[in-house]
Amino acid sequence: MPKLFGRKRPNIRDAAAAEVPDTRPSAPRYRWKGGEDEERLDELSRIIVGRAKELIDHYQEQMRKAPSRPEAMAWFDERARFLSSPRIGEIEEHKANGGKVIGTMCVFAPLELIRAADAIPVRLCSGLHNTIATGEELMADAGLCPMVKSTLGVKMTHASPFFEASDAVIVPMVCDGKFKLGEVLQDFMEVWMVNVPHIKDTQQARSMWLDEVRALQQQIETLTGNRIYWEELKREIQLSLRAQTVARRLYDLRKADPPVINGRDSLLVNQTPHTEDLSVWVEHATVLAQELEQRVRDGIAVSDPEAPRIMLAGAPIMWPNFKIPQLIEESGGSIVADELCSGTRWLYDPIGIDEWIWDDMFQAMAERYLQPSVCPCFTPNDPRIGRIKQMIEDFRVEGVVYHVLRGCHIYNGESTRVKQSAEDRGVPMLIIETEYSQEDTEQLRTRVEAFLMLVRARRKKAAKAKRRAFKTIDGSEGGDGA
Amino acid sequence: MTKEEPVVAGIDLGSTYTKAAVLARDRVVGTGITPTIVDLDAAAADALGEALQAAGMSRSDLDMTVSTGYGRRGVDIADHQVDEIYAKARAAKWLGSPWGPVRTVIDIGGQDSKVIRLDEAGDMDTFLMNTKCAAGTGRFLEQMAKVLGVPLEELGEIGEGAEHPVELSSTCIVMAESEVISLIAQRRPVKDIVAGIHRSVAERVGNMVKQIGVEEVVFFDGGPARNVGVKKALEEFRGAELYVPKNPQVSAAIGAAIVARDILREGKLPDGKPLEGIEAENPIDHWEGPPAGGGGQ
Ligand code: SF4
Ligand code: SF4
Repeated sequence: MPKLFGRKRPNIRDAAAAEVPDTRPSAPRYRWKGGEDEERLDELSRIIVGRAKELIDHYQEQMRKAPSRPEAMAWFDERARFLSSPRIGEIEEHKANGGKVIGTMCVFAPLELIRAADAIPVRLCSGLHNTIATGEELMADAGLCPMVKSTLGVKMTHASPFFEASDAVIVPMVCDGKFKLGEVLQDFMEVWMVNVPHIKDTQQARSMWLDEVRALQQQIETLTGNRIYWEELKREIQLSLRAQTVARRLYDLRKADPPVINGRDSLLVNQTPHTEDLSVWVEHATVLAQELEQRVRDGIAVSDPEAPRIMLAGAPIMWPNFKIPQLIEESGGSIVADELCSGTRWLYDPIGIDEWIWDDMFQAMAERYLQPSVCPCFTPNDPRIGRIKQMIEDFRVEGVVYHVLRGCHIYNGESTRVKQSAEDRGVPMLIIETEYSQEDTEQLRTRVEAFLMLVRARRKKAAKAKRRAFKTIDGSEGGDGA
Repeated sequence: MTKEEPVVAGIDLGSTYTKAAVLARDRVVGTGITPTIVDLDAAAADALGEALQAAGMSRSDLDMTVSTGYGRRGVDIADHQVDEIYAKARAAKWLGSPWGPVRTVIDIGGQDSKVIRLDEAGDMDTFLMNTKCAAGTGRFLEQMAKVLGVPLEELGEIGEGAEHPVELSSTCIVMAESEVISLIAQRRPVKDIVAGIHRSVAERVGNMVKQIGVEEVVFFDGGPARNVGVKKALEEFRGAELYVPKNPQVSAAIGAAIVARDILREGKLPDGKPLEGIEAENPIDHWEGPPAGGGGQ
């Protein structure tokens, strides 16, 4: 691989296009009939966008109700407004200047490579409910995870400007849903499938993964016409490290007791980089971190300081589908930690570089996506359970809410073991199985409210036991429990 | 804190019936049941009125009213709300059983079923609720009775003495319906079909019990608790005798009334918040204000 230091990058389209084989698929093989009725698609897209706006309004209104919401959230709010986000204009401009956009799903696309080739990565996993019916026209499996069908529906209806702007999409083969999704999507756009090994810590898996990332590099270079050199890769790795540092700061700030930021806000902050310019995100996240640090010093709670401390675990929750976190927090819980792939999971284990030489850099960057990942698509997945246990301790979690998207078998399959290990630490866990629609909200509310009662009861019991123990040692009355 | 035992009421707004219970001097002095109608306030007023009448009291005698059930957030006459799982747990502890303190509550409701385990002190320790599906609920029994053309209340007796209970392979209401119809066409004795239906419900609920672990005494609650067939099938399946309270339908309402009493006694809401100053609000949401539109739209 050539290593050019500080040389102006030649455009391989004109210069050495032959060097990089074109691996793009040929024209669509199957046609979707519904795609020919443009009027209907326009109508659908209008409805979907309108509904997304309603949802965003609703949840943002609820989130603003926190008695003392951090001021720095304003920027994140603005950026989360979907169609009216200023980000769309920025992306349009980038494209007008010949720039490329590359869609990603899950947390396995090498973002540093994409950015190093001057392309914009956008995560396309969708949280919209009313695109599912359209998605089902091509993936009719009633037992399939709603995220997969929803994401497909978004493409079919052309509802998302981010999806429409994407020149290609990187789809990791993590679960049945995702890999068939990639297949179907191929009839609509360029799709790069990535083989994610399910057993990840063997030598074979490591070298296969490196090859996969190398192949992606080629595809990215071919699409953008930009070769990726040492300088750009280093620059982008450093940017990722900066982002992870501030994300880590925000993560640590959630350990504060009383909490200084709501779980919903935190989740939104962690999802903003899905579409935003990471360097701009770093600026605003830093401002937020500073504000929160001040709050910790001043002891300002964002909401009820006595609220049960809840950890959100399980299947992804994608903005604007904040049904579950909204339910937990409006029922009086405080989400102090999450381990969602749409939450804090992206910042686990920063890229560790010993020496800034190409091979080391490339390898460290690639491995960062595989080794620290605790998605349930890996086996054995004890590191995930270990991580959850650690988080329970670090964040003083009193109850775990485990979100299962109906049809996500890999998350569901791990739920019992996670539950057992949480219970082993005396922390109860509530498993919520749901879909994207809102119709089960009231049924879920009953469970969530009862669960919060249970957490409070356990807290009381623990305090009583402590007092009793104190009494017997001391002979005195003991302090007052929480 | 009040010196004398307060007079309190609980209203349970379920999906089919609205139930009320009035408690005075630590005793249930009146209960009322009325079908749930669209106007939840009217249904609540009706049920409460009936309970008060039975007690020989009027609304002004009430020190506090707490609502529970799916419709709990939609009524004005209640001072506070509590979820029905917690209400059931409180009721089971308070009602108790002649065989000793209750440790497990099995509740088969109209729309859902739940299993609650209580600790030695009778407080809720853990619970499990069925997923969003009618299998293993009162709804399932109701629908099957309809298909067989027999009254729901008689279903229990009809299944007695079945020699070869059928095995229903589907738990889904729609699928089970066509399965039952084909069994009728095969001229299988109704007795056997009914016993099979009871077994299907018992298995569904029994599996939840298995997940949580059963501890005696087991308190069997909810409408289908009055169905001897389901009770027996569940006892066979779980190997534990079930205690059915005298009036299983109103136990959630009783639980809500107990919660009202707790609040007055302790001067604290169930979530630990002090009572003063926030009385008018939903205790659960007091730091955010009542959510607009009930969260779902
Ligand atoms: S948890 Fe599932 S959806 Fe999320 S990144 Fe991992 S594989 Fe993808
Ligand atoms: S939520 Fe589960 S089933 Fe759905 S895409 Fe992610 S891993 Fe796959």
